[in-house]
Amino acid sequence: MAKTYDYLFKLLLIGDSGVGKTCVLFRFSDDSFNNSFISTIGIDFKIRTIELDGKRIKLQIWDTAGQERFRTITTAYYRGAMGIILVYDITNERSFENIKNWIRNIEEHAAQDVERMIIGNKCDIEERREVSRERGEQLAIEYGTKFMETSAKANLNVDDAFFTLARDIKSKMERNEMRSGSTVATGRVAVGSSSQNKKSFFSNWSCSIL
Amino acid sequence: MNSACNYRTIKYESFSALTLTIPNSQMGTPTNIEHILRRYFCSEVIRDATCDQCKENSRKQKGFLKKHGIVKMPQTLLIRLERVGMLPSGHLKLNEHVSFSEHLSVQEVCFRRDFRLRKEAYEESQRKWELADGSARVFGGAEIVDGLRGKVTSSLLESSDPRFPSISHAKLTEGHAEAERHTYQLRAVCEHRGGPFSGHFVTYRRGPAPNSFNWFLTNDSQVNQVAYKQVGLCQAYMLFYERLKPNRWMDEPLPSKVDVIVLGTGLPEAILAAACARSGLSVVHLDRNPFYGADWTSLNLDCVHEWVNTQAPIQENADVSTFEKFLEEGEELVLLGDNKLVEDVEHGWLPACSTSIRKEEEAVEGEEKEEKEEKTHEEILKKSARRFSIDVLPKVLLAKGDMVQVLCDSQVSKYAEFKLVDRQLCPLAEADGNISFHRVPCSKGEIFTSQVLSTMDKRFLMKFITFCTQWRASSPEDARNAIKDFADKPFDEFLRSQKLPENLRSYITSTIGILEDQPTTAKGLEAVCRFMDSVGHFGPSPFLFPLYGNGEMAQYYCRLSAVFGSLYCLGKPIDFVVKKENRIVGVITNGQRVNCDHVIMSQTYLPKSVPLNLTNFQIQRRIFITNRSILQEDKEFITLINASSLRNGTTTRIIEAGFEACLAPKGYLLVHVTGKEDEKQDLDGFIDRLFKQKDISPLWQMRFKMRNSVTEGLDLPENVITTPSVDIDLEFSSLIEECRKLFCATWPDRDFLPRMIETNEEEEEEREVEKEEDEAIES
Repeated sequence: MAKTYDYLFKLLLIGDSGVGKTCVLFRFSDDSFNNSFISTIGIDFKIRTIELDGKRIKLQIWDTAGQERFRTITTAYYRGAMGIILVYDITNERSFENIKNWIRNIEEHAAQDVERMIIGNKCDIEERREVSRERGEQLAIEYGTKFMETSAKANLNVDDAFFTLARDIKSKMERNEMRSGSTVATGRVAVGSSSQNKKSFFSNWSCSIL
Repeated sequence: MNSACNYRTIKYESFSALTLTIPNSQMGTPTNIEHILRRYFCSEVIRDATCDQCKENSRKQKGFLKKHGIVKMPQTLLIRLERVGMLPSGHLKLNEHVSFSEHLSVQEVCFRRDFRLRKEAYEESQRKWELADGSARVFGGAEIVDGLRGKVTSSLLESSDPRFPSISHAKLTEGHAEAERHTYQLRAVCEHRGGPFSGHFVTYRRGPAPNSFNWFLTNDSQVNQVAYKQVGLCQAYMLFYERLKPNRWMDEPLPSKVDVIVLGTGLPEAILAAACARSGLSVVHLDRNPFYGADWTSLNLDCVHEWVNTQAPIQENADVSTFEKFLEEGEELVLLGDNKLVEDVEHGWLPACSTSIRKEEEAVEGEEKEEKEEKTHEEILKKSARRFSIDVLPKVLLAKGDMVQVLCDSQVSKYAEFKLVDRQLCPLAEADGNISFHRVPCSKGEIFTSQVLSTMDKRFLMKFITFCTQWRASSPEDARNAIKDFADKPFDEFLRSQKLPENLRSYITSTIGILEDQPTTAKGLEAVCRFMDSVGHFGPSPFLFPLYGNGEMAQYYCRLSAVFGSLYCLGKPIDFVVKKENRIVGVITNGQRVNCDHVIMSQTYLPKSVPLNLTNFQIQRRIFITNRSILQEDKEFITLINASSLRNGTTTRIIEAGFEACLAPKGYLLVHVTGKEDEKQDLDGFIDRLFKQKDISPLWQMRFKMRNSVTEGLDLPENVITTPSVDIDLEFSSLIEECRKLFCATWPDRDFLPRMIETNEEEEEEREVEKEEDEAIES
């Protein structure tokens, strides 16, 4: 089957509530920004197809659906995720401290080889900064991840962050493919409305030879 | 710290218990623990000391300030009160009462992890330090207001009775989140009675639940429940404080009013929560368990133990008086139960797990060194324990069944991935006493190529299937006529009347008739039709199995519910509901009252006063981990076996799946056996025989039974909806139907998980493209 993309990556956004995950998501997918704080309702995931080194990569980026508020993110959310962006708010010390807890959460539920990245959002609000850039970098070094400060509002580094993560996943995937051949799982059935057009046992029954 | 040159040295020390001395009694004024703690941690001014840096610079000295505080908060804080005093005449037991609160904040004696000193705060602390003369205030350290003997004020500790200062939970969640991080809860008190040289120790302990309000006094071999008042009055020697959970996470308050509160995150509750949220109702979804799924969950090997513990009944009644403050005029508290439907759980490793195997390939990634090392199964399994997903109740989805339909319509399907149950086996007893397995042909092609069936059988079978098709397509009247008197008679009798040979009859009932257990003719035919209808829908098999297990299903619906705004809060106590005029108007959870119009609850949460309506029907479950399939082939399958072909009327069935279904690490399989309680002997016999014959030694097993209770005839307030308990059905159609009924009965004007309008244009477009391409390929 011909596809409109070469790769499909499932990415997750994780972090405390109010750090701007949904804003980052909207900035990246729709290039839009809404200043008011509304807890995420009705946002499941967003899609944007990007091009990297001549390959079309469809990024499917999932939002937490507000389940981060009481740390009740379903384990199913982590399934099949290839990249996770951990978001904190540079004007909120606590959201930074909680990154460690979220990492623990990821280690418990996500695949071991998932690509991670830490971003400090809202870097346009310098006057209310509580977490220095150095501390962000330090934390990223500690966990061996990439780090970036972003602003969804001022459109700083948002695309960069996603592209960097996508590139990392892509190169890891290509490495793995070279090493062990194709690792794509086979035989999975997606139960979507569009796939309901297969032939049933009873169709064409009238031409039975019996 | 030296104020002149800002020279600091920091020294870290660890402590196991804090030993606090009781200050000289201030006649009649009770001392409290907070005061003593702060006194212990207060800053000291050391005069005439020389700082290293000043010495180097040969500057003049002013003195030192020594700050003392907690850097890393322990999970358990142990406080010992020094109750032995020294007098010239000898030892003395200090009998002062030191009041202590149920909650202790150490916020003010903690060093902040970083000194993000807002300028003014820093300056203020500096100014105070300049003033320091017997009194000092140090930022991040302990604060003493009016000298050492001063009155300690704390905005946090407010209580009507100064002897029992306590912080209410409600207050904490309302805006003292920062404080909660530094708050400890009293778990136990050790009291010493008697003099300095002899006496008696007794212990007061809080009940086992995380936020239990019950206290027990252990005195030698006697254990009695006591009121907290008595605990508060005791002459404490040691205090055991535990950090409030969640450990470092902040809790937001729940909304004070929603349309619906759902208790329990099992599959039916999750479906209903999703249906409510989807139709625009505001929902708060709660569970006492810290995990999703309740009795419908999937476990990994690590959390089996934890799950087993949650199944043990807690013999504890929450103290009503603590919650009465939530009530208004005309309202009453109703204590909720904690009904357990799972019983007699046993689990553990079996002898074969200690066999060593050479793990050549497939060692955990990145550990190639261990290639040649010999390891036992147990070691390997323990290492990859989290890769297991053990269904408490495994089921499959019928490709064209109601569950799949609802999944598609609601677009929950986008979270889900399935695999076909790609091998259905029919066990048959052979003359030599062994059991042989035969693959069940599903499609027309498979029937033709099947080697199990003789040519005659094949003809009979095809004829019968044709009959079914026609029967189904015909008008209700014709359909009734076609089976005439047989409609309500056993299916087998009807098959007999159709002159089908015996082996084919048993074959039909146990394979393509698997959806109904001992059906009547009408139901049996219906079941065959449903089965055949689903064949070829997603592939040759009519059944799908959810990847990562059935526990995911509940989570999928919860996710949908959350996407539509439901709030999820798990692992919090839910003790009471508030009743007014035969309606439940609110639920009290975690020290907060949430009002609501409707309550949906699983039977676990039925009020204590309402006993479960148990049926005689019970499900027996056996789960094994094996390293070889029951019928080994060169490929791994998801296998369904129905034992009813061995003995008519038995419902025992086996689902075997492993890595392919993401249920186990590579090379291992889960064997799920499900049957009825009254067939327990048969079930165990069958399994033993099977493993023996196939020379399979299971490595681990778990067994339990699940009770079944019905929601009819329960005396409940009018706005309570109770959900069905677990059933033995192979698939979900009846469950979905029941949920639909419950929803529509309460909200007749709302649609139950209606078809979602495609919102993502990009997706749509892509799908269109794909479809066109598909069609192009097909033609």
